[in-house]
Amino acid sequence: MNKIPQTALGCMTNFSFLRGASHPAEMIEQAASLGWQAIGISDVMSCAGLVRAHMATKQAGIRLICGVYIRLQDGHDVICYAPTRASYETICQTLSAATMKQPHKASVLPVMYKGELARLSSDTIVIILPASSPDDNFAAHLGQMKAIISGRVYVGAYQLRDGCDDQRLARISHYANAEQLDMVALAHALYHVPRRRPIADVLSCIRHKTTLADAGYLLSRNAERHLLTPQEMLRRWQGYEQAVYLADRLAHECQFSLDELGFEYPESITSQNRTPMQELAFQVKQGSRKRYPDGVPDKVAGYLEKEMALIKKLDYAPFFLTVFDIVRFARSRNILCQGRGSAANSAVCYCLFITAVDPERSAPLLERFISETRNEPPDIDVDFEHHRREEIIQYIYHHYGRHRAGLAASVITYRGRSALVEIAKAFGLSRDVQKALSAQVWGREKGKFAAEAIIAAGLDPEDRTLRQITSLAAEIQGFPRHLSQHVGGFVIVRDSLDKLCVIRPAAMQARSIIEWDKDDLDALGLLKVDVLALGMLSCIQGAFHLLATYYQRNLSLATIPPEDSAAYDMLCRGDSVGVFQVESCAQMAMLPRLQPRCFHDLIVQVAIVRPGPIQGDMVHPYLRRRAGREQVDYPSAELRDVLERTLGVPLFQEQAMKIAIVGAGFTGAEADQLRRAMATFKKNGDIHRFYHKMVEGMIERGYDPEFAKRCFKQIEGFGTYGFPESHAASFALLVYVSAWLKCHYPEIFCCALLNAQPMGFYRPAQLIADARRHGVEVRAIDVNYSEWDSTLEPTSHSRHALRLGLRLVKGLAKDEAGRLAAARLSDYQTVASLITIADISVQALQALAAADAFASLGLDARQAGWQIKKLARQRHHQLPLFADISAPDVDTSQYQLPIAEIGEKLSQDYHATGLSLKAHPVDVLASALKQDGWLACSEIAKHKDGRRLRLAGLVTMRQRPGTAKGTVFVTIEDGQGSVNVIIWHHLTVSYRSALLGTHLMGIVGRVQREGAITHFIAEKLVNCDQYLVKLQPETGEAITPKSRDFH
Amino acid sequence: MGMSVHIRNASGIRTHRTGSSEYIYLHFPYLPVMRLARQHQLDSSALICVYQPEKGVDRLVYLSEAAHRQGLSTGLSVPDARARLPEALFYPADHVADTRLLVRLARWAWRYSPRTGIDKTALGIWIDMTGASHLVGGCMAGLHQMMTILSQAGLTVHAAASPSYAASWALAHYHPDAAQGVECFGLASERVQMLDILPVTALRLEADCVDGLVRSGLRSIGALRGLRPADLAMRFGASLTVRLEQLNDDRSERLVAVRADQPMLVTRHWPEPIAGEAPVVRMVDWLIDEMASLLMMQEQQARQFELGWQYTDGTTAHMQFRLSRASNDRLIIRRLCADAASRIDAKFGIDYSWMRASGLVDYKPVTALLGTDQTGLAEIELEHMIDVLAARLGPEKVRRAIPCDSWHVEKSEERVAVTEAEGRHHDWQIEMPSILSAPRPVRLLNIAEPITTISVLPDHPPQQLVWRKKHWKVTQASGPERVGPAWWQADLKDSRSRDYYRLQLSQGPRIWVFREGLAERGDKIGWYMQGFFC
Repeated sequence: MNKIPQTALGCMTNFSFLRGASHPAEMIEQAASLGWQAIGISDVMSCAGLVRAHMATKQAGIRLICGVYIRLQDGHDVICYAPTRASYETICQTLSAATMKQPHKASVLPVMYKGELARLSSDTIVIILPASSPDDNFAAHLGQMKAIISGRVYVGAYQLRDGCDDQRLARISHYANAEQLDMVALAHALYHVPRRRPIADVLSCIRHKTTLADAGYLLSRNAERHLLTPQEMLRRWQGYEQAVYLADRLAHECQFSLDELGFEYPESITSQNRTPMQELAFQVKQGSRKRYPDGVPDKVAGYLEKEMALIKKLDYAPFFLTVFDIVRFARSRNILCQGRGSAANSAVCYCLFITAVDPERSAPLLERFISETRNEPPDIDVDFEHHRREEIIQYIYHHYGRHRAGLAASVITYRGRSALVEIAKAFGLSRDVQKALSAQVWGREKGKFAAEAIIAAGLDPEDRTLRQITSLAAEIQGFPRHLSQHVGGFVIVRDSLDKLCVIRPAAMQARSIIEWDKDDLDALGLLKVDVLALGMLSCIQGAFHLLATYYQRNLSLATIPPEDSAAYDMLCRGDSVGVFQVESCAQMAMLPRLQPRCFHDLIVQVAIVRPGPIQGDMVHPYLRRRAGREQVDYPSAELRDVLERTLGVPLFQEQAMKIAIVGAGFTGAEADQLRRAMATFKKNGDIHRFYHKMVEGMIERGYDPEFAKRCFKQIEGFGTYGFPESHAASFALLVYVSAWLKCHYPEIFCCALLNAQPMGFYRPAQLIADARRHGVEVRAIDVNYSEWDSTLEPTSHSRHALRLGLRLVKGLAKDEAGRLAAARLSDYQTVASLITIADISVQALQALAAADAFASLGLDARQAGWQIKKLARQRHHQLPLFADISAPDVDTSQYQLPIAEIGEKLSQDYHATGLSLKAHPVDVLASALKQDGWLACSEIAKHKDGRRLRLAGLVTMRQRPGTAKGTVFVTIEDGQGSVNVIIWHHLTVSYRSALLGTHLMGIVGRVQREGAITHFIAEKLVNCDQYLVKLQPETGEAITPKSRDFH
Repeated sequence: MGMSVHIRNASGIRTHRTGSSEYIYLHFPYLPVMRLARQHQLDSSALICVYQPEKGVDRLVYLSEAAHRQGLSTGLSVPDARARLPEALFYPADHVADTRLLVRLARWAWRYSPRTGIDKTALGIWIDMTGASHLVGGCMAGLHQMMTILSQAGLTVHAAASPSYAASWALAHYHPDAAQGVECFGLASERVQMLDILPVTALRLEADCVDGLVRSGLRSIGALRGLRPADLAMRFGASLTVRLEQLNDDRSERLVAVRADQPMLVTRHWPEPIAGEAPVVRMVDWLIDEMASLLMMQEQQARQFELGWQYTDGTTAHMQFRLSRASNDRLIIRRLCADAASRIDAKFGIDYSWMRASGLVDYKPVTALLGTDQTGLAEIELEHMIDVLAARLGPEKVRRAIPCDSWHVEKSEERVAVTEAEGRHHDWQIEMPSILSAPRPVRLLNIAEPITTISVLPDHPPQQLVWRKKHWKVTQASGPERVGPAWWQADLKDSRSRDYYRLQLSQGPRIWVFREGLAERGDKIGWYMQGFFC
């Protein structure tokens, strides 16, 4: 009996983008179950799938041979495998060099020439692949390659079942013998099982932008490119057994594993010859003196000691120093920043000024700080002001060098709609049908294409093609499509990035992306610092600045007066427009129920309105217990410690993990896998493996099965989006700070919010309306008073007024606005003087006129526009020398332009700035609406629970949360306030048109009051846009205020 | 003055003229929709939406009245509209077809005036009734007659008549009573009154000019009367004042009238009726020669020819010919019509005959490279043989095999009627890809025939087989070439893979057989004979 082969070389995964048709894990699991001991993965011009393959081989207990499949410019292919780390590095460098030459474009393969292979180290295994029918050219090619490549050269052979396998093998072996090279047998697999052939075909069509009907020979001939069993392989290679065993020999030499890529931290982070640990201790000591001038409290000192010991043990000091370095730079530039993530909420980070959450207040968990069992770097994301993040990125490049710092990749995968559309395209369905199908997939729904959706699209669900499309679309979910860049995850290494992984150019020049995404980096334990942008930080920084300038109060995140009861009162009323995180309708509705009275309550508030707790049905038990309507009890004594702080209801990610460990007997490592599965749940669906283990484990230990299932459901929800407590704590601080600002300085808060746009949930119109409701005097945009940003102006009383900035004017460039403000030595007297003094372009003047910004010149929008039109022509026709001489505006006195109606003014304001201070359209229309029986929506306040009303208001938001089973939430407003409308799923179907296309919505429904919360339950929706047309009847041009829809 | 002067140049543009004129303008607001409704046989309640791409987004440009009533409006994107009204029907705009329809309407209006024209951007036609209105009892009578006829034909029409094109245009598009037809021939003050209520868009201005006027509060033509023309021109350019003037005085108006098509037609009245074989042949030859030189002169080639004649008793007959490649070569046309003369029965004599060419394309001469056959003359020879065959046997009876990109033997060629084969590749040598590394046989059976076989193992090639009741011994076999099913085809009945083998039979022939079904998967297995190598 012959020896059974052990190694399948030359397998591709779906990280050979749009070629391979199996996930790395599928390929490897199949290989293991067929009995292979080692598998050689080599993806086309990429190592993006290697880490996933690495993890999967570890799981499956077989060995991974790392390699890449290189397509040369002359049409020949080679596969390179790395026996050692040095070889791996040269492979990455060679490929990176070719990739970096390419312009940034995801879909194009880099061009590589034979000569570039000379860089490969001498121990690299290079397998040269013949064309499907090798001829004498191949012999010549072999000769050249032998001369170029210093590594070890082999000739690869494969079988295709195309009727020529015997001839091909004979020829390859002939040519190989002639050049004295050995022939090695390749598995040449493109998918793990034959039934993936349709997917490979569809991917080919997508790659070649063609359809199945037209693709012809681009499609596969058969389904033979799958993994064989070792026995079958040996049988098919009868007569060439040596080639099969050579694969085993090569595999035996390839002892390199990605685990060897242990991380080397960048240098130059210590000073005065201190070791990193000494440096960290020094910095923490210094910081703690600043944080606690009266001496470090005992509790905090205890945390510090434990944390430092752990850092020392796991040697993570350089990581903390790197983050510290970046944060220190940001502070030196006065850029507001805040760290979050598991490791950020620690005493060490507080003392290093990475976070402002006082450990005394938030009681961080050591278990979450750094897990000893998970050998992976601590997790710190740092948020910076979004306007100024670029400065930080430049610093990182400058300080660490461009070859050492790069962005992590983010793998763009097929999701519901994109999968469906591209597959429908491959099947050659008309654009009509494609659109009809995709229109049935709302937002980011998962890959469920139910028969109802097909029927709703007006198609026949029994149709064979449609069934194929939907089933393929479901199967292709999660397939990587291409690599993009992560928003801000920086990888910084000591040596050079291109030795670690293949790097490719980013969209911006002179930046590079490494091919691994954040999960891959985590898995290998590589350092990543997330440099993220957060609009609210820009807002808070702006507010602090205004506070210092206009009210002489110097505050920072850490020194804001803590636990201010007025701010909590405001939040308890649900009065939170603009406040970080808690401004959404759902959060606003939760605030009066939860009644947050302290910082910990805010942490809970932030974490509770999330898919995790909602899906796990944890919200109502928590609320009941908090309101004292339900006894606080614990499933067991051991879980008491875990759940005590949240009244026995698990709300945070780490609690779910703890339950798995304490309640279901998971080991730390298993809990870690569970956590990882949570994070990648969307992609792989691995989490179901843990279902039985966790639920049965808990039942065994005497827990209520219902509780166990709920806990697991919640973990699933966390996968979609969960908050660990540390994240929630960092966010809660921003919630508190922004609420404090809104409560005590609404004018400053509104001004800072406007200047930090675009951000948050509301548009400027709603933010300004809210500020006015809070007694802020808002002044209109004016060429004589406005800057680019919104500003504050003194008034006769103690409070400042808010002057709207020129940035709100649509179509006005920032530099023009800057010139306008800078050249304003005294007030502008005439429109023409803006041209002569500030050199403002006519387009900019027109934009300003449309925004009614000439009021201080005694001109309304219409008159200003009339003058500018003349100036525009003159400027166009005259030499600049004579521009001043032309008689100024003699004709305006002879003819009075018609005075604009309020409706038209509103309409123009909305067009030019998206808002109007003059009136609210609904208020103007109130009498007309009333005649037809419609009430302005804020009238709801006067009516009791259960009352049936007809309300009308402008739509400001339409939402369809994934957890709400098709219910749509619509917010409508008038001049006085807004109303949240709940539209049940069946109504969304019958009133689809009115729901989607209406600006002024009329709703017949019922008032629903629950404590301080008022909702309006819709029964009927009416499109009332014709009233908006009434505002400006002559042109029929209606106000079309923008609403935020389905974000 | 009093006297009117009409000077027209060859292109029909009138350059100068004074005195009072009469213009009718007919506006068809739903023309594209009505064209589609007729084409797809939809009734008036159909929710028809016509869209065209605008910066990458398909937006609605025309809507049926029913769709308007359901709340759709122009400018909406197609996905939005579809979301609001899933039952609506969406068609891409076809401006060429719309223009063609307008031209037909303008030609129809020749019965009222020799000078009519189209306004393709605004979906209307105009009729210059000056000097022609008395024939239908006055301009208004003519207008109402047109409207009656057109609305009976199912067209929605808004119409106006006035002394100037500009005023008729404005009234037909914007006057509230345009659906009933309005006229504006009264006193100057009445005319001013009628025009003053119209919006400024009725002046045919650029969009930003209209926008500027509206933003200044100048919404109607009347609002502009209070202003000095200089003030307007200073802000909105001279075009605005020109447009205002044109309402009363259309001297500066440039209108292009539609012209009749010139057919490619050769005719001849024969002084003596033609009868007998030789004269008929001469008659046909004469027509072909004339046609060929006419085409050559006009730098045109034609694909279709009609040969017609009229007998002395007044009855007519004709024949149609078709070329697979357009030509103006008299030899080619003659060859095509070669046997026509023999098929014409002159009866008592032919006194009039004609030849008409259609399917015209511009003539692009080709120069043959010296010593090569780059012009594809050989190909042309073959094509003309096909034409001749098709002319004799009927075009659908002559078929041509065309290679298709498919792994599946049955689908790797398509036999299409020669009329449809045009523009598709015929070259088998180029089309056969190198990836088909295993040779394919020269001759294939139309339908693979079942055979019985004996082989060692289920997935081995046969050693013996019975085909057409005869025993054959296999001496050599190579393969398999496995061809999977075309899984994506909607009419796929058999989803089994095939393994093809080349077999050398002891009696000499080399054949191509396949096994249907995978033995290792436990499929039901069948063996078939597919073709011969020699």
